[in-house]
Amino acid sequence: MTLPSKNWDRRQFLAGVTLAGTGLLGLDRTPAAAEPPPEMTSLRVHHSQSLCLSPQYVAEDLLRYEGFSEVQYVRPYGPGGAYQALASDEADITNDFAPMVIVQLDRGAPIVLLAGVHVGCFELFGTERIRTIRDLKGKTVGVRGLETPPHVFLASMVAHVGLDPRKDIVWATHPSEESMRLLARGEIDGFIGFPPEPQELRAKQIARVVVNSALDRPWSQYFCCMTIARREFARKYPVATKRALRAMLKATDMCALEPDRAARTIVDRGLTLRYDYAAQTMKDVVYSKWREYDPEDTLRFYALRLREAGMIKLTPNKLIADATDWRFLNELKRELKG
Amino acid sequence: MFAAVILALTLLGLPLAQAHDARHHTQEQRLPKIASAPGFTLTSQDGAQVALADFRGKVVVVTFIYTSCADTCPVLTAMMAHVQDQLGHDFGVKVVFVSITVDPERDTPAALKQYADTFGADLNGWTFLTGTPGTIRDVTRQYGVFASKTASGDVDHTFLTSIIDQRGVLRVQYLGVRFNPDEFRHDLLTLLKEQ
Repeated sequence: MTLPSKNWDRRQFLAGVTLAGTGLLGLDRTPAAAEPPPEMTSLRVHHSQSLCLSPQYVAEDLLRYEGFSEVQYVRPYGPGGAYQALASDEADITNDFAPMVIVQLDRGAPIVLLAGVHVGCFELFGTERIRTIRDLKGKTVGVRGLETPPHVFLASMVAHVGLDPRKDIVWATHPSEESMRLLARGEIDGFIGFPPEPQELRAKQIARVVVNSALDRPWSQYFCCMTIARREFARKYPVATKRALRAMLKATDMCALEPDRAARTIVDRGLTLRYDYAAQTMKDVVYSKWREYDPEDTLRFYALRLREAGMIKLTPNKLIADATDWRFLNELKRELKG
Repeated sequence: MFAAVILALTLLGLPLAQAHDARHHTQEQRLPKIASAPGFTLTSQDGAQVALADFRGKVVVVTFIYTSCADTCPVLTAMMAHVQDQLGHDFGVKVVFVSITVDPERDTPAALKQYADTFGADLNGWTFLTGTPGTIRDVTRQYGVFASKTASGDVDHTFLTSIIDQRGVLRVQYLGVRFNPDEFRHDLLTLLKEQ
C-alpha cells in the first residue's frame, strides 16, 4: 500500500522550496478553497450489534448533512463479517475493535485505519474464585467463538500478564447468553463481554468485574475501537472519507456530551430494545478521548500483546507504516473542537 | 570559487528556507476551510429580517439556544458574553455573534430581546434570531444540530458553535459548552489576521 511518507523525499523538498519561492513573491496569499462535496452520494457502513459502536448509528443524519444522501448499513454475516464486507466492496467504512483490526491486517485485509473512536467497552467477569487475570490460569472462560473480539481481547490480556492463551486458558465457546447463564451457575469461571452484556450482568448482579477496560490500566489508556475504511475507498475518495469520518467523530462527541439522546437514537434505530442498557453504555464507554489519545500508541500496545500471544506476525512499526492514514484525523482535530 | 558558491547558495538558501518555515508556520496557524456556511434569513430580536449574507466581511459566530433553557444554554451564552467583552472594539465591527433559537414557538422577538438583556449582550454585534418552526428546523439540520421537544416542553438540542469567516466559509466548530473560551477567542483573532 502506498501511503504518504512521513519523511520528505527530494521531490517534496523541491516542491517546498518552490512554494517558499512563490511565498516570497507574494503570489500565494489566497487561502485554499473550501472542501468540495464528497465524490459520491452513497455510503455503506458495516452494521455491528455492539452498542459501543453507537457513534456510527448516531452519525446517520450527520452523514446526510455531509452529502451522503444514501446511507446504507450493511448487515453482518458472522465473525469477521466487517472485513469480508470491506474486502468484497460491500462496505466502505466502519468502526471495529482495535485488536481485531490488527489480526485482520496481519492476514492481509485491504483496510486502512483512520482514527481512534472510544476507550473501553469490554469487561471481564469472574466467579468469586477469580480476583485477577492470572487467576484464570487453568480455568474455563466463555467466549462467543475463537478469533472473535472477546477471545482476541482476552488472549492479549492474558499474554500481558505472562500467561499463554493457547495453553493456560480453557476456552468454552457458547453464544453470549449461554455463557452468562453458565457463569451465573458457576459452570464456567469467567466471561468477557461487550455492551450490552456487561450492563446486563451488572444489573442482574451476576459474578464480579475483574477488569473494566474503560477504567483499568493499561487497557483504559488505549482505544478500544477504531475507524477503518476499505483501502481503495480512502485512496480514491479522500473527500468522502474525510466527510464520513467527520460525521462519525462528531457523533462520538455527541455520545459523550449527550448520552441520553444518543441512547434514544440507537433504541429508535432498533439496535437494542433496552434504553436503560443503552444509556448505561453511553456513560460507561469513554467517548471523549479521540482528540487526546494517540492511535499509534494503541496499535503498538495491542500489536505487541498479540505477537506475545502468538496471534500475529506483523510488527507494530510495519503496521503503522503500511496501514494507517491519520491525515483526515489530524485535519478534523483542528476543525472540530470540544 | 568553491567558497563563493557555498556563500551564494547559503545566501540564496537561507531566505528560501526561512520563507518556507514562515509559510509552514502560517499554514499551521490558519484554520481549515470546512465548507460554505449554510445561509439563512430569520427574524431578529427587533423584528427585522436578517440574513447570514448581511454579515459578509465579518467573522460570524453562530450558535443555537432557547430562552427558557434552564441548564446548559445559559452557560454557553454567558461564556459568549465574556468573549464579547474581551473582543473590545473588534466586537460588532469585525466579529458578530448570532444566536438562533431552537424553540421558535415560544421565542418571540420580544422574548429574545429580554434574554439578550439578561446576559448583557451588545446588540450592536450580537443578533438573536427566530423564525417559523419549519425554517428553524431547516437551519438546524443544515448546521448538523439535533433539536426536539421533550414531553416537558423543553427542547433537547445539540450545542454546536460554528465560526464562519469573512467570506462565508465555515472554519471551525465547537461541540458542547465546556470548550476553552481562550481557544475560541484565539480562533476568532486568527481569522481577523487573515484579512
